[in-house]
Amino acid sequence: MGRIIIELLSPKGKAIESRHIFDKDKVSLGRSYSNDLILDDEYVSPEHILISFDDGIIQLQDLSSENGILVNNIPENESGTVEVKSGDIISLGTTRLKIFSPEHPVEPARILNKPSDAQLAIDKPIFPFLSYFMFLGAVAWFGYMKLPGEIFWEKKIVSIVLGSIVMSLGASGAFSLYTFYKYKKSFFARNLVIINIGMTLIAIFDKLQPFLFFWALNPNLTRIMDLTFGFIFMLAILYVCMKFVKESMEWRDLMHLGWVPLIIVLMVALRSDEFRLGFHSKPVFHKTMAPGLSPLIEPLNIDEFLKEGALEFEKLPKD
Amino acid sequence: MTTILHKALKTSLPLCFCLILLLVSVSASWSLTGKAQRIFEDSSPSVFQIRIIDIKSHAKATIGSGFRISNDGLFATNFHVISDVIDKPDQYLIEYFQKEEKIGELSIQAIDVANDLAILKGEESGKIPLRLGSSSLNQGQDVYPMGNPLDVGMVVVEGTYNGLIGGESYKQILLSASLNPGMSGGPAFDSEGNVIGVNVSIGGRNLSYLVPIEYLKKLRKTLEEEGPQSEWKEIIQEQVLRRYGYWVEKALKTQWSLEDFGSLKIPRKILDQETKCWGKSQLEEPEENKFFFYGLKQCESFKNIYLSSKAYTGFIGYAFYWLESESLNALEFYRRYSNRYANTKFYSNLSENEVTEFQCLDHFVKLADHDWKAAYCVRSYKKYPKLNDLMLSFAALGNSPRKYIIQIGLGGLNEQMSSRILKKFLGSIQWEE
Repeated sequence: MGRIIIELLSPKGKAIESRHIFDKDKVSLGRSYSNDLILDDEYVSPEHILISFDDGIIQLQDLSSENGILVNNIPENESGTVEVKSGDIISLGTTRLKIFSPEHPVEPARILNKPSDAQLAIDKPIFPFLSYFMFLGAVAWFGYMKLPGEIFWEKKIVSIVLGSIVMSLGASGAFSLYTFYKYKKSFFARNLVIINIGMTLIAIFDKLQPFLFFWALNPNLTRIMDLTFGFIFMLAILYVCMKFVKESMEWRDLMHLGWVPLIIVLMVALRSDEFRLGFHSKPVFHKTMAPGLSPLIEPLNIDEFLKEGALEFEKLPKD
Repeated sequence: MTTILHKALKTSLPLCFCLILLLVSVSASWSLTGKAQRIFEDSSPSVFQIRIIDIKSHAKATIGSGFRISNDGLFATNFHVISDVIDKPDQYLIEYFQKEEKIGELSIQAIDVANDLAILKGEESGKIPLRLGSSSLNQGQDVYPMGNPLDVGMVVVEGTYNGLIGGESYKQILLSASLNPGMSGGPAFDSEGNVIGVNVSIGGRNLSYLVPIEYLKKLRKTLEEEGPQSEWKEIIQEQVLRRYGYWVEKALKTQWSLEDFGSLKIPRKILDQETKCWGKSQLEEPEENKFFFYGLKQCESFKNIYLSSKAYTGFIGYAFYWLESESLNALEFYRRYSNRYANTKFYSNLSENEVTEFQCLDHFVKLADHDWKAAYCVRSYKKYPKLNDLMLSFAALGNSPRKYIIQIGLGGLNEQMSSRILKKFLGSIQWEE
């Protein structure tokens, strides 16, 4: 005696609504109560099809139904008998189902996921604090670079400590809210660690930018580079945070997250002077200089420079 | 230096107005010596208030003074008094008043923007015009400027002649007297009652400038020979360029003496009569929260040409910065150095209606045998396309702990003029270590 397994699918997608197992060689489907599987679908005929399983072959017999059948979304024109493979999607009326033979292969069991060492380590209570102090250390150090004197300890340090706490807690709080809203999990402590590490890297990268931008010789290019790096960094932080919440997250899921750093980057961009829309009375040019760097291209002499500069006259808008 | 007109616009607050009114009436009555009284009585029939009337609102937009220079209806005033009429002829017209009574309307006949003069045409009159004298007086002689300050009524002031300043063809009379806003365009008399100059601007608390009367005579002669002008935009461009050309020729002709500025040798002054130089420095004192040494020398011209109440041009300015620091981290020092390099001055903050945006070239340059990062920016005036503003900035690269920035701003010239003067200016800079 054979066995036929039928999975009824949801109207759209691949989700299974119910699974029916028949320990016999023939199964009839239709709206009539005489069928083995009764389908409540007004587009299905009272006696629609007969499924038979013999020697590993599944066959469908259309019982002169009104609307016919589709195999993998392709209509079967010839009424009569068709052979289908185990796992094919069959549509009758608006009902979709899959037919399996008992030999249908299944994937081997997945190994139960053990959290990696990094994942375990990040949950230690010390890490949010350690990472915060790393962030604070970087910000304070860069602050001290700006004002390397007593005045830093008198005037700046308090606002730096408070500011960094607000940034660190605020950003991870916002992330946690987002993940809680989406996946009902918040992982605040993990987000805190990731945000602290990420912001430390952003701060360091910001200081090293002049070395990268020195040769660009184009204010627009440096601005675009600056914002692109900011976008990538923030996206990376967001990705790592989300990855902890939802392990099945893949790179293409980043597309759905991209708008968050995009909004932040746009806000930063619109706030800066150079990006302000509208008319600039002030000349805007490339300014970045970095210690120890010298031109890679041969510098122009004064005559050449003035001659090149004179070409700018031509580029002025003319009415 | 602010022109009288400019101040007139700003001081319309009632409190200020009352205070100045009080001051003017006190100083006017106090300075009315016998001579001043006679000059006032003789000349006041020929001195007028000039009002620029907004056609739509029928109210005055600006006020100035003016005076009759001929029987056949010619009047003189400052260009800056009537400049808005040239800028927007459909919006404004010129009327002249005496004792709050409108005499008639005026039309523009000839202008000299570089010396801030205009000749206008009004109604003919049998009355004797003012006698035009000469601006060469002896220092210390009395001068009596007349005009209608702040719309309070005709006033005569007593002042002292202090000689001529400025270069050939563009001189001004320096006068110790307190001119007030609204007196622009009025005549200034010597003790004989001859006009020696035209009131033009206020230099300080008790210092004013007059345009020598010779330039007005010259303008009247041109008007007689060539007839009334009308292509104002062309004429303005030509006159602005002519004065700039004179500056460039003068700067090229003179031998510049060099002076030390750290390791640099830089020109002491490129135009001795047209520019003023200033300098300052700040020592590096980390314990005083001064984390770098900073030296600055800058020179700037001081006589701008007014194109309208919203735009001026015709300037030259340049600055040398010297920065050096031991207490700052290199990254931070370079950050400040970059900002200083990009933060330019010597350009006027004009609106979108007046100028285009600056168009910039960024490059590396070899200057004084050293590598520099440099920017060359240029823009043009929308209503005067032959006029351009240039702004150049240079920052020294390399390993020397001494860092220099050179900035130059040129306003109201063309490409040929700029390249000639810049070539000499940049070529004159040397680096000695």
